[in-house]
Amino acid sequence: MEQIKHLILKDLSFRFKLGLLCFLFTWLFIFGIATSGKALFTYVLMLVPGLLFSGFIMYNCYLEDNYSTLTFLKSLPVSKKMLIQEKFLLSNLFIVIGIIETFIFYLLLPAIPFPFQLSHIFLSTAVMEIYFGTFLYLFYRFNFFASRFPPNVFVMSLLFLHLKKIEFQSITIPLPLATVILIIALIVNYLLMIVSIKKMR
Amino acid sequence: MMNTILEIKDLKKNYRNFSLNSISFDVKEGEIVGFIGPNGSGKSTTMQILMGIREKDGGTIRFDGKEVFEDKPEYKQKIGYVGESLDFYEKVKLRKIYQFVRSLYSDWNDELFHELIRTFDLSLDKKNRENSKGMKVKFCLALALATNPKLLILDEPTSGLDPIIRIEVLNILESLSTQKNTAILFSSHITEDLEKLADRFVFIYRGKLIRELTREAVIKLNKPLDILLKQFMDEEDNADGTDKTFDFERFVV
Repeated sequence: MEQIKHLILKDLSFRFKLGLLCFLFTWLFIFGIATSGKALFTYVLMLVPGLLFSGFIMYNCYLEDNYSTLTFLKSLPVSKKMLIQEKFLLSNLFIVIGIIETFIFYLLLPAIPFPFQLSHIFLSTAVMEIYFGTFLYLFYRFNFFASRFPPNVFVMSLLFLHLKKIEFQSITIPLPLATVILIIALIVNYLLMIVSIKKMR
Repeated sequence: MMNTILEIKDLKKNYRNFSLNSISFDVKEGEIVGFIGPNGSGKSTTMQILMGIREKDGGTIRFDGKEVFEDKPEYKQKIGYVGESLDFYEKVKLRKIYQFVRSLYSDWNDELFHELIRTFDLSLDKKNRENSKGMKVKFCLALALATNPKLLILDEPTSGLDPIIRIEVLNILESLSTQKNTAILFSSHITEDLEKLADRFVFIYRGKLIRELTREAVIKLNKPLDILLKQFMDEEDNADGTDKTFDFERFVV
């Protein structure tokens, strides 16, 4: 666990300024959406970890998408398993940070109606679990070029929903169903981690 | 009597066009072993398997008396490694790379690291891509030596170094072996370096270990290492019935 902690700190520090910028941007983003009157709560829940993921993990994956860097990392006293577990752990941490950050914002601005629905949190978390897991699997199995596929699909899907005037939070999903979807997404994320470890290039 | 620090037995690795064929040899404490072979003979593959960079298909590796497993990387705490490709984290400053590497080792010698950085005239505020090949080698050597290793695995460490720094590096390695009893497994295509340093020579060709000679045996044979390598390779080819002689006459019109 100690080595995984150092790998996480490495990911946070190697591009600290860019990551910090992404983190600050998430606040600006929440503020912008919340004050626009739309209160796109679930979008914020997805985009905060999404931005953090782009700033820290994706950039580090880009740096590590090189034979020499991967070789260098593997030569250190860490295993392949630790290298992959670290990225999955950090991406899950970003999901938790996204939820906490969004809640803090809504608590700080009580004038904005609080659109809290547990099923929406579960659903947005499920989407991010699949998104992050697929990205990391494609990165470790193939390369950074291949891993750029899920972000594109993700952005296009959001655009499609927007064009169809479907607002994510207007979708009513019963809590038991949302719970099942979240559990499935967590299992898929875990399986993607296991497959990434077994099939690492 | 010196203890065995590294023991490799029947090491195998299969690729589509190449395979490592039952490589077995050992390295003793304080001993410098020169690993000699032409390009593509399996030197780097063997060294990368030792470091857990590549997975082996068979055989056993024992380090400091214990069997080594890829998913238990603690053994690498006591092995310093300088690989052949050094273009890692090109956009990151050396200081950040050093801080990250230092955090992973329990027995890191910070004083020695900074001393080496001064000796090698390196700046930690430069990004890795701003350094020449020689400077990258020196940075990696400083990282490897600061881990207080029991074994150093060096894959072509002196290539790309200017002659003065090369001699300096060789002297550091020699004193490391004599004063700190560090074992060194060293591959280089500059056979003079190996002749100067190594106590023993392991010759590898087409994924097969073809000879193992002590320094005394090489002196007795009274031939330079590259000539010996060529002779052993020819003997191996003849034993296989493969004629590797290039026939220029075929191209005369």
